[in-house]
Amino acid sequence: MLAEGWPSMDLFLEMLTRELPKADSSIDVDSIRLPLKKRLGRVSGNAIGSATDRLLARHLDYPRAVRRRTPPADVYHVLDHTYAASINSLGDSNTVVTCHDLDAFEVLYSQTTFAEHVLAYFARITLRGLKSATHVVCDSATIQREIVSRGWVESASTSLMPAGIHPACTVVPSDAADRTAESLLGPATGPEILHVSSTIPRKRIDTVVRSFASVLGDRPDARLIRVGGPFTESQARMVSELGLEKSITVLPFLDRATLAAVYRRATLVILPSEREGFGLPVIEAMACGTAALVSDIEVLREVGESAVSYAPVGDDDAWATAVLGMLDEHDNQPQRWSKRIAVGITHARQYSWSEHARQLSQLYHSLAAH
Amino acid sequence: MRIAFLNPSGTIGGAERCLLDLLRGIREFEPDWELHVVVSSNGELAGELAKLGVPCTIVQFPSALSQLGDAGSRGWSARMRVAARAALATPSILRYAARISQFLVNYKPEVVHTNGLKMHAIGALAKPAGSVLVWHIHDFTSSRPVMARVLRFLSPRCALCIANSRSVGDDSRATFGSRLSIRTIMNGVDLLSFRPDGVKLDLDGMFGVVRSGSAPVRIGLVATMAPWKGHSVFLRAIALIDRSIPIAAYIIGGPIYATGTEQEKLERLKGIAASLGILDRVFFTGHIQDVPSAMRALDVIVHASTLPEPFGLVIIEAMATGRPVIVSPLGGAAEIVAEGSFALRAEPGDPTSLAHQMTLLALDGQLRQAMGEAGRSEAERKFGSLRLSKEFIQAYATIRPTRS
Repeated sequence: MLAEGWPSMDLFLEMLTRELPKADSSIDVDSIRLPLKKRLGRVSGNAIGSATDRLLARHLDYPRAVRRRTPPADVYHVLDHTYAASINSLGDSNTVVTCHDLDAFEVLYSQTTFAEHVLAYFARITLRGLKSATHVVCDSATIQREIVSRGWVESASTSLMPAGIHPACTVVPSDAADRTAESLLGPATGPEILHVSSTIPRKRIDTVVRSFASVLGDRPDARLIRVGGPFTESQARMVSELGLEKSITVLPFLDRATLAAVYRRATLVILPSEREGFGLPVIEAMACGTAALVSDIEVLREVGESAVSYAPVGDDDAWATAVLGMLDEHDNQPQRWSKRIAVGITHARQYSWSEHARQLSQLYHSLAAH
Repeated sequence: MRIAFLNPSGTIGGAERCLLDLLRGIREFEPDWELHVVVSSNGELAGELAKLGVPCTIVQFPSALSQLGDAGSRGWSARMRVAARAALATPSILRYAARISQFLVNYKPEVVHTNGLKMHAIGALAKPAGSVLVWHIHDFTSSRPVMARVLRFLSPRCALCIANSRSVGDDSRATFGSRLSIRTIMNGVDLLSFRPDGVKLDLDGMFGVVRSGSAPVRIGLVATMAPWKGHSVFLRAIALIDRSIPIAAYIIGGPIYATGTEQEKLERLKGIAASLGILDRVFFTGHIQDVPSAMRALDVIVHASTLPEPFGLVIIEAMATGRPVIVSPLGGAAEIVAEGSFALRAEPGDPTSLAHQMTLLALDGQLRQAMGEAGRSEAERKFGSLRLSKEFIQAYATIRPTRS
């Protein structure tokens, strides 16, 4: 099983390492998770250097580690499609790739700069890995349909297995985690609007920030909590120009227990992304008893169904209006709010790592039998 | 070892259930120990003691003593009134202490174990030479300003103070200072009586309710009728729950103390329920002797105390019964629910917060079941009454007087 050091992928590795042996004791899980070698990152110290290091890890270090692994495994499972190149040299081995989104392949459709040509070269190698996988597992039906319609894999060679909810993500509080959250955030003094994600463009931090500026006009006690590391320079400039620094708290990626406590104390979780592979924060928020407002895009409709509220991608005014409407419901319509939260908790329950592991174990057995 | 227990009530509340658990455990681990309980009034406690085979003597509190109380008496004028009443009651208190002393002199216990603030004082006055005194403190002494002064004065006569939670231990330390040896032994619960499976109280039958459809989710506040137990918060929360959610609410428990200020009048609560328009959804059972069967009849158990709870026995009883519990996290209650996945928390005194948590549990059977199972396993791990008895036996051994 291969995974990279990335919060959501670490979650997959942690949960599958824990749940697979429970689902089927005959499965022996061995993981390959290499420390990222800082080749250029250390020299250049910038984002391009780090991205290059990651690229080299995906195309040099992991393929080498997989080739050298002895004895050979019955099934190799790459937990993140961006590492699919690792299985290019495995020949006839049984290989599974989990495909979370299609971001890594966007560059194949448009290259103007030299860097994009380079990235496209590596993306083609990655795609070759994905196409050569014996089976591809997708988090969402949206991504599953997309990779089949693009002719990359046969429909019969794909499965839909949504991510699950970490056990820490529950409506039941934990003193230790709540204390950690309070030490990071201080006491809650007004509604907290939470955004959990990285700062890459598709996450639409611009909508997060601009709509929050409008919300503050009506609700000066509101606070935006961002989990997932600091803003980029341009995002930070926008925050500064809008004078929002005092109302925004930025936290790094957090451990699951602390993140769950941050979810629990939030009034609302927002996810205005223009694209998502699955939208893990949506189900995590619901499991923690927190309402979610998300982009009206196909994959989030699939995951959130009627348990969350939706706003159109990129329409900052609509987002601000929707946030204010939900804060008003929270304050003035407690019955409706409680039902909304209860529906969310029940809905989130279908996303289970034990079920994910059960389906995976069946898949491994069927592949190993051939 | 010979131990005399002094208890200030003949009815069964949290402290008495704890006492019964302790006696049961001592019977099991130290069958040769001689135990005797003195209670201040006749009641169901005497019957339960008889079932355990523990001898019991009733030494009736004089009315001046039974009605004396200073809970929550803030301000000088209130304290002066309490002090004046105490002064007037002094002769009868001393006469009562003399009667207890007479009993103890004859019984010759090595340990005198007292429950309740009044009995702590009486025990200190009545303890014969050659006995050691153990105060089992179940209350925040600081909330009884007059009594705190009295007990501080008498504390040199106490060998060991056992607090039922860290919160009460901290409060006792602040009240009595470092002169008194204080140890915390968390209360326990009888895991056999309070178990998930067993007889359930027929709540519908009790109120003559005939149901045609599926049963509602039954939510109960199990508490004595003291105002700080949050009965009115519970009622206001029930009124906030959406009418489309099928619930039935129960207020289970009756008054236990004779003092007027400590009783929430049942009629007043019914008046609140009527004014909220929820009399069709709320049922008042009064005092129920078989608490485990009442708890088993419920789907959700609510603890809504508006002041810090010295311990919060009802919480561990709900856990042992395998029922999810909503807790008002103050004092000992907060200690119990610090970790674990068996309790939701509601802001103390906030009906909206309580209604929200009740709604979540009412709509989600799986959550109720998961929390109930987690509660039972936590109760088995941490709150078995046998653990309580073992810790007490150990504590008695450390202070046992040497006799020639």
